[in-house]
Amino acid sequence: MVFSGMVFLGVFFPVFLLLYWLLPQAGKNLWLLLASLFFYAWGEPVYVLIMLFSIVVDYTNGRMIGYFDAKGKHDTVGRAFLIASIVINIGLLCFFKYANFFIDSLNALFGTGLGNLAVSLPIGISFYTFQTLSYTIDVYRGIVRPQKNPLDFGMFVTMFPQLIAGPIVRYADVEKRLRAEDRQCTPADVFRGLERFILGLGKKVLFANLAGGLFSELSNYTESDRSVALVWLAVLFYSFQIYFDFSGYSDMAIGMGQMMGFQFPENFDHPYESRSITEFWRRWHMTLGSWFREYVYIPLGGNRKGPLRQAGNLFLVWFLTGLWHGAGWNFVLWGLYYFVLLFLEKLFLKDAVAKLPSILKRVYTLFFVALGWGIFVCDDPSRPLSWLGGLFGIGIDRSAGAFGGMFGYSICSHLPFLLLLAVASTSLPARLGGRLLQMIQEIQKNESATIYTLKAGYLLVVLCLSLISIISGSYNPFLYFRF
Amino acid sequence: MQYKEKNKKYIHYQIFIAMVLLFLLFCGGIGILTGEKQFSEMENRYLTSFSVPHLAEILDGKAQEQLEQALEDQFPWRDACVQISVSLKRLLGAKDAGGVYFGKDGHLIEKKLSSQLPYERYARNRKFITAAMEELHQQGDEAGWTLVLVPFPGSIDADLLPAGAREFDEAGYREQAAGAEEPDQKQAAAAGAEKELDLYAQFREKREAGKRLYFATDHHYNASGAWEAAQALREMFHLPEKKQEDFGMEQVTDAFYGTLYSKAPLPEIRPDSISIPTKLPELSVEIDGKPVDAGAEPDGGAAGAAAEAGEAAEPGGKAAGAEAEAGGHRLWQIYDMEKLRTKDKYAVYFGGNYGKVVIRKKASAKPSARRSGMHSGKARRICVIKDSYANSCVPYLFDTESFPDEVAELTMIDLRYFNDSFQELAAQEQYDEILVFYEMSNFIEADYFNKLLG
Repeated sequence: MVFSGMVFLGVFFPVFLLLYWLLPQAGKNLWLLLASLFFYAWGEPVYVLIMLFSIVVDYTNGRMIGYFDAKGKHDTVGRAFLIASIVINIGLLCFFKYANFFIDSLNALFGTGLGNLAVSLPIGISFYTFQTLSYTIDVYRGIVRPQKNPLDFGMFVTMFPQLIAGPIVRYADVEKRLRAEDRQCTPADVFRGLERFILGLGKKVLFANLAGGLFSELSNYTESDRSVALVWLAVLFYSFQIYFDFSGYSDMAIGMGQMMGFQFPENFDHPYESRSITEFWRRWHMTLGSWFREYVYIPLGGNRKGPLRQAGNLFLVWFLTGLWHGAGWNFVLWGLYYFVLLFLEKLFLKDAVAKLPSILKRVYTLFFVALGWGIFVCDDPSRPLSWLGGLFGIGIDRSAGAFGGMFGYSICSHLPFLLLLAVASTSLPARLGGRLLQMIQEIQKNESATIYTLKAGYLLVVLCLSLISIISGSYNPFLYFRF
Repeated sequence: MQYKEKNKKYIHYQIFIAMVLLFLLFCGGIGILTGEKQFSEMENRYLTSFSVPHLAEILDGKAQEQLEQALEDQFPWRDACVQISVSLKRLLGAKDAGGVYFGKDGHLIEKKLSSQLPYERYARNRKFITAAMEELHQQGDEAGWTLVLVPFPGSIDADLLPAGAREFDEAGYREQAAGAEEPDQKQAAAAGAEKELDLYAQFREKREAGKRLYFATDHHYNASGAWEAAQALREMFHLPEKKQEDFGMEQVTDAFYGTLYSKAPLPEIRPDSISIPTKLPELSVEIDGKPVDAGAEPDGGAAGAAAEAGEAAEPGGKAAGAEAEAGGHRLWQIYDMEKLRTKDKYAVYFGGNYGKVVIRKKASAKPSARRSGMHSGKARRICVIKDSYANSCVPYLFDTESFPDEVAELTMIDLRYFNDSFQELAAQEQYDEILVFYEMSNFIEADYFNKLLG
């Protein structure tokens, strides 16, 4: 089930929440677990079994590690269970997500004719395997205590708000709020959660979907309708699509968590206004970055074992980060691209960039980030890196000039929206909103009512526009009487 | 006291939360409550409806997908949502939607780029036509072939396009094709190559004189455009010179929202009107081999027919009605007036497109036909391989008076629906003339001209 569809918005979401609030404390976690399983099973009923398997395995491993810890066998039997957990989780991920990628790569490399497996990617597996892994590793390290209640543990793994697109919630993040009694929230909290949810929905439906539509429209322009500038414009729209899509989903997840009394970690912090690549990765998909830092980079020694070892560690982390995003060499290349950039920044580039004026720092960052998306978006193995090449004029009909083809028309049509996306991706609207509220507080006596009215009105407009957009998205004139 | 104070502070939050959730529930449930709509006229497609799924459909996720689609399809104010959404996009600067440019003066024009319609496809389809003709000639058939390509609206109405908007280069394509043929033209002429009736210059000239030749909301030409094409054909066939008014033009609707409007439904778009020629000779129509008897002309002419369309039996039409039902159609002259009540109003001509439509001048009504046919050639029999552009043009080829070389029989073949062998049909029928009549972009897009062979 997707957050931006009518089944979720018009049925699942309101019904779930109303019942959740009506139920007594004792029933809330069970309801959340059942609802989450239903949510997951909606799209792929069979794959819910894999998730149940994952729950059972990691619950058992956690309990076993705890049990043998108490018996003083932390480093022997406890470690064996940790390794078992890692092998099983990574094994599941590899089998379902990467098996065919490995087979294809082997075939391409050695000319073997191995057939593909008939598996498809269970939705959200990249997220929930990382979440359960964080649990067993943290239990082993003694950071969290093993969860005794299988229901609470199952609820942690399946929790639907962050199940399919993050943020990656580590067990340690929510441990203190797993019991329903520990999740008291006031109507004001719920209101804030709903606000976050609606704004996230708007980001996804109004910005990401529209930007995505323009990206695919521009992608369809080929041959003489295409030009280098047009490719750049398309990649820009893609950059905004992926940001608003991903951060919109995260906002919806965080908002829904808030409505139930959870506090999920933040996932995006206006990454496109970063002033270096290093800063970009501190603001983009933050929970993934911290997961790799916590569970791969630091355990491998981080920067404590000399620059050579650090380079090796960084290489591995970024190789894996790339691969995590998808089973394709373009994603690996994209990860390694950031390895090179980040390593260069560590060596000297950061100091060089630091001397630039602020605006140039941003241009520098955005340029390389956009270039990165130019690699990321090349997921068609039959035309490797065609987008990246296009950004530099490779494979482009240059008879009409760099700004020829449909570029002039497209930029005229879409410049206002592009500017809107650019502004909306920064912290400017939030700051302006804050300033406005401050002004109201200074002028008005009964400020909370005014602010409430303004906010409620704004949220309702965003919600209505989102629904209109979703419903009209299904509008599909099938004009076979074309002739 | 403090608790009460606190609760009071929260009450407006609770109201908002309840309001949002109930509103969402309303949006989700309203489609189920308001009953099921089967068909969307705007989109010309069947809507997904609610149904009880089988276990297998649930297990592979199909039923869930269907429910998702049904909730959106059955939303009662869906068309309004689309209008708002398209308007907002335009407010944000968009100059096209759904593959349709928002042209000047509320004129909608299809967006067709050369990347979608490459020259190679055009050349390939032309080759198919030549090959079909040669194949037929080899069987001893002597029909003259003429290629009639009505210009693409975006080429003629280029002045109405938004700034910077592009279309495929129709003029260039035509020139290139003409140039490519030149070397073996003479040889081909000897072998009796197909002619080409070039309407491009004529349409441009009329457009430059300020004439509107295409509908503003539909991808077809309007009555003026159809008449331009007809005039050129009449000249080619040496039919007597006439004015369009001579055909008794009558406006049958002023509320036509065509296919382009469906794709880009901006609220301020004005509907088109449709005028049809009503002064036609008595014609018999045969659709896919079944005769369709024309009902009696309703009182008050075409306008009256439009008003009466869809109502019960027409006066004196009982037998005719029964006969018509056998074929599934009821026509007045060549018109299906009921279509004027639907969204697809262009289908007033013949009721739409069929594999094979034969139109004959009724000999009995015109006893002079045979007699006058004696002193010169015989009456003409024409075959038109066509798209829907032909439907509104061919009526002008029938004259009320009779004379030698008049068009007495016209067969329209729509290859999308025609599944017999064209070669066999043509060899058997021995037509005098064969026209290949398409709008330019349709012609390039068509992927079925191989049906003309073998």
